[in-house]
Amino acid sequence: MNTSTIDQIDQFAADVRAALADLPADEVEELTEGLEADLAEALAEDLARELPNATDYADELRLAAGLPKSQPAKGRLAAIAAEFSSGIGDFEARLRRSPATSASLDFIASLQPAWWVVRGWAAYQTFQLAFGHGGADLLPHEAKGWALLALMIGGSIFVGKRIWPKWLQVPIWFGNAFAVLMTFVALGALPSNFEMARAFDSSGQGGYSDGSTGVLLDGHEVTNIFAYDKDGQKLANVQLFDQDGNPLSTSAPDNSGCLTFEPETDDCQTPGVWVSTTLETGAQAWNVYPLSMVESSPVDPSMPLPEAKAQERPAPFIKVPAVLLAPQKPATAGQVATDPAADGGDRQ
Amino acid sequence: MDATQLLKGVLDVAVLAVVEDEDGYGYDVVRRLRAAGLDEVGEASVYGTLRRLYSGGGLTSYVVPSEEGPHRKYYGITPQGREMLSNQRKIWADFAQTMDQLLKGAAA
Repeated sequence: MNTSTIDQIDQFAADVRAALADLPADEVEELTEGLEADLAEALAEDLARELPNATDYADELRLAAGLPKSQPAKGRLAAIAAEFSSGIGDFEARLRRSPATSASLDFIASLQPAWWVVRGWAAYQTFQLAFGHGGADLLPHEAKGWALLALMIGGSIFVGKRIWPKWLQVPIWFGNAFAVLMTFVALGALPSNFEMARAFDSSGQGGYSDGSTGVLLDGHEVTNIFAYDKDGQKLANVQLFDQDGNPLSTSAPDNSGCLTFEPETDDCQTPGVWVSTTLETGAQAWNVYPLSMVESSPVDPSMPLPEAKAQERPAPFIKVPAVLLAPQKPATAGQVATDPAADGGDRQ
Repeated sequence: MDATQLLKGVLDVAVLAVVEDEDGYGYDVVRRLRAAGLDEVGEASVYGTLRRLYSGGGLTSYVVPSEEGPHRKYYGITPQGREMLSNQRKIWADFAQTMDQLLKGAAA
């Protein structure tokens, strides 16, 4: 059997299923499972035979199975829906003609269950954004959230498994488009949530050697830190630690960054990698500021160029105002500063 | 009168009869019916009938995956299907006898 016959059979089977589309999806599945194999065998036995009319065939199948006749779609919305889905059908038929695009379509179709889960997740994210407390997390943290997510995914699968009447398919299409949009929105918010989760984890465990490091300012990753002394002069090789004695590391080892930017577009012109500083113990420290950077390969930005030397990063200020060291009056500002309980209590 | 009209009423019992001894997939059942002399039987009618008998509990079904092509759905008879078949055999035998006599009488 050649490919074009197989395509014809697939197309015919798809048309038959479309003609049965007003029936529940599992009924259509039961009724047409093995249809391709049967048709292929029938055609192989009698090469002169032509495929019958798909609608007539579907009607015969329906009648013999004791199922109700197809209901013609009614109303304007239904007419628009019918036109819309027949347009989609034509487009699909055109793609089916080439084996390559046909195989891609099969592959995409095989991803459908995953899409149902994503769509349920998008519905959950939408619900969280609309009724939840602020930003949505990637996954729920409590039983209630999980139950909601399970409900949304279940609903999405229900919508996906059933073949809906034509007039309902347009709202489903719009819903799908919205779900795709929401997925990107929710994923767009993801990196900052993820970084926060990482920062939270590392401070909670008091560990840093596993590479889960990072410093955030207003939700944005801090890539470098510049320290100035009491005279407002820039300092080099300042070692920073947090309140628990953990090295305050802005970037994990091997974290790549950007050495120079395009002046106009702000795109990265030369990639670079941050370099660590060697301590007297021989250990590599990532909490010595300001960090320097070495030019890296444009092909693999995490690989430093062999001959490149560490370069200082441009400081935001050449000099900052000096600190006034005159003895302070015991005024209101001094009160707060000398009260460690009030100051340190909620800064953990 | 043509045979396809008559066939509609007896397709159930015919389908049950050809899967009585051996399970069969859709086109296989069509082929058995045609080999038995029911040349005009429509494929879709047979597939629909198989499905209806399955829903009614007369048949079981299982899918056999195929390596070279789409998988096949096999149907086999259940005890309930055997009961249906034996009832309908009796009904058919009575009916056929009645019709035979009637038609013979009319011809005489």
